[in-house]
Amino acid sequence: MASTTTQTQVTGVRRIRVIDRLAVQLAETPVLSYLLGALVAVGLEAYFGYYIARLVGLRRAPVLFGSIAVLENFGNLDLSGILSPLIPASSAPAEPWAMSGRALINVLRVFISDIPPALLTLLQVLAYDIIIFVLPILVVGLLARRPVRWVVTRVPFLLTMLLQLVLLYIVIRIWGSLSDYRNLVLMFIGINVILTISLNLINGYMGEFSVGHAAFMAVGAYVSAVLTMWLFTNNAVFGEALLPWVTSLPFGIGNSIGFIFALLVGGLAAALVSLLVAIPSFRTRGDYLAIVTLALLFIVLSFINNLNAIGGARGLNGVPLWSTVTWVYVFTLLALFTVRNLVNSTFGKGIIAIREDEIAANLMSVNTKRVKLVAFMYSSFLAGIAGGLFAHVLAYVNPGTFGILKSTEVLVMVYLGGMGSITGSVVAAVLFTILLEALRPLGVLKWVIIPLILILLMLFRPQGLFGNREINLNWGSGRRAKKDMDYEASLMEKDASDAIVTD
Amino acid sequence: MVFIQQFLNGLQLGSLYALIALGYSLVYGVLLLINFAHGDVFMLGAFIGVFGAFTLGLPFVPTLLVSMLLTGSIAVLIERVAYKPLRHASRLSAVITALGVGLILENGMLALTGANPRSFPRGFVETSSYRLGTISIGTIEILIFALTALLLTGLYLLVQHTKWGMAMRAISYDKFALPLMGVSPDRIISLTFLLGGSLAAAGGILWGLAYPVLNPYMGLRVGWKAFIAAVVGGIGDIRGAVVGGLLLGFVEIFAAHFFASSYRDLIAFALLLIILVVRPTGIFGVARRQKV
Repeated sequence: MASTTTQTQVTGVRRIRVIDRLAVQLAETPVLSYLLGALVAVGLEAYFGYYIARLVGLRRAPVLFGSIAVLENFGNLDLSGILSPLIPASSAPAEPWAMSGRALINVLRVFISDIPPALLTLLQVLAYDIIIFVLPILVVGLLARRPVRWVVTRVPFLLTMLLQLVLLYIVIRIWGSLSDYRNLVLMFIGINVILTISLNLINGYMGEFSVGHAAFMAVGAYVSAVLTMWLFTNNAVFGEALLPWVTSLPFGIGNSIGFIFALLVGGLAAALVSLLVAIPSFRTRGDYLAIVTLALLFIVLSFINNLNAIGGARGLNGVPLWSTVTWVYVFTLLALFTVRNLVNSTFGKGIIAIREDEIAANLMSVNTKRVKLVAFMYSSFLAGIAGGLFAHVLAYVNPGTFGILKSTEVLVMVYLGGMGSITGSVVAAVLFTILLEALRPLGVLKWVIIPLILILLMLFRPQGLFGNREINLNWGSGRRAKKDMDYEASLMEKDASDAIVTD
Repeated sequence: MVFIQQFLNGLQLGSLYALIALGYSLVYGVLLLINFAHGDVFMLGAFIGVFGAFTLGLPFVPTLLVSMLLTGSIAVLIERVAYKPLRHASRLSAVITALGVGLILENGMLALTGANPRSFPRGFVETSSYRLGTISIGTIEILIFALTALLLTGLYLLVQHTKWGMAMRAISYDKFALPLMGVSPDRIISLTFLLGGSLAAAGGILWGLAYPVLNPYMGLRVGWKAFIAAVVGGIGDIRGAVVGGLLLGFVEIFAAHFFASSYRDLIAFALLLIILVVRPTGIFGVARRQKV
């Protein structure tokens, strides 16, 4: 009796250890080898995606990992009949309750009949995703682990990092090359990452509550759009380009120079506008500062609405389509890099000190006014850049885009990822952007489901997905790789000693 | 003469803002929670009013009472389901939840009723106007003034002169001592949401009479504006909400009168921003001392 229980216990421990070791191995595998796996995956999709899609019974390769394909099955769900007989628009129908009941039953019937095809599509896209993405990334990632680690320990960290960023870029480009829509989503992801980390600087690290982030985005979008249209392109709004020679510079660098210039000026303009929040923040804190940001959002939108020279409420049409995946990628990396360094610097410690206790921070010789000024201005600068990129994605900006809903979206991403977590912000921005796109087939229900997810998140994990921690990825610094090797060796040693004991 | 006419318009808009701002202020006073869903509770009140008027075929006063009761109960329900579990979590997660509840209410209503704007049936309230020289004042305006005054007086008496009101004031003064005195904070919080929700419902119905285009997003702009009004008055203070609401109403109407109507938001919010910068805790607000 006694011996069998120990036996099962031992196998139980064994099993846990196998899973543990796999998890450890997955976590310790350098990002570089996952990227190699991802490269194989997107290459596989580029060449065989269509055939594999046909093999699993899909008509074509799913665009966003199949999320849209699954939810499209529910696209014909129309709930508007349920309450409209009871709350009629003009005159009450004869039998409102019966009508509404019939509509409800009908909706339920449609919904139930939609479930089987949706499940079928789900299985199909799961099969596709596993064959194309999960398997190659895991298999290649784990197989390439040792050689990659061997390389990583011998190459300067900077070089590894550069290699990883270039690889990531290549993976993104190949993935995006399969459809324009994917490129659009990629650009939105990058823009949302910039917005999220910039707001995280204020709401997460500094502990203020800004609900007007869309205002800075709007300023950046409008200023940069007006600049590119006015200075560099011919269009119906501003007529001939003011500086046509810039765009005719050789090798196409003219557009780049013009675009960077416009983006930077847009960012600076947003930073200037943020003074309207930063200066009140010296005296006003907490909920009252939230109102200041909110009022600023209304003021900026109202201001744009009244500027008829740039379209007013109708919006500004004909913005050149200069945003590319490359530009968004570059600016996203720059934003991440600068924010990371900012919050890890002594200055950044000052920002966090303000969150913990402003008065105490002041006593500890943190120049709180200066810190707040810089944090607000830099955050708004980034939001302005994101706005500029956004304006040049769709060729059209209007004030309605930058309303409270946009601010809410960014807030959601910040709190989803966790306040004061850069990696959390990135993950949240990526997930949330994909979710936004995936739920598109559901129409207005999208904005019922997203807040529902948000509320559930707040009820069960109020600190966000990652709290204020960072995801610990192995970016391939030599020291880290050495530590991993030692750890794995110690695990093996332990296994060996355990084996002796059980024998 | 024009001035008096515009004054009446400002009073009408300001009264409606005040009714909604009170809901923000009451909840903030008790829970220190910015209830961002309140604007959508206001929308709900208006829509339930339309339901009462059309489907139940009720006249004005019963419709008002039904809507106030139902909307207040829904507000209590929202508090129980969404905010109560977060009472001990960080304040921001409750605020974010409130934002989410607001989005669910407005978009859920849009999904369930479709995009056609709603209004109250013709003849729901007798519309005639009285003339005094060049000034005209309509029955709807009189109704709004009278009802707002009635509700505000009632609320004031309730908060200042009843045991329930005393408990409400006590909870905002010291929420830890209140249970020690044998008062259940849950009940007081529910009462607060019931009051806030029913005031918003009254505001919604009156709004529907004055500006007869009701859509699911109507609570968005009006709600946020009323919230700003509550803050400018000094959030957590009943007088503050009323003064802030009236102030916002007057500023908007007069900005539209002296400049163009498209400038009303710009001027109103710029002015409110200045007030907040000069008096960071609003007109009636008291600064909370912070100790290190």
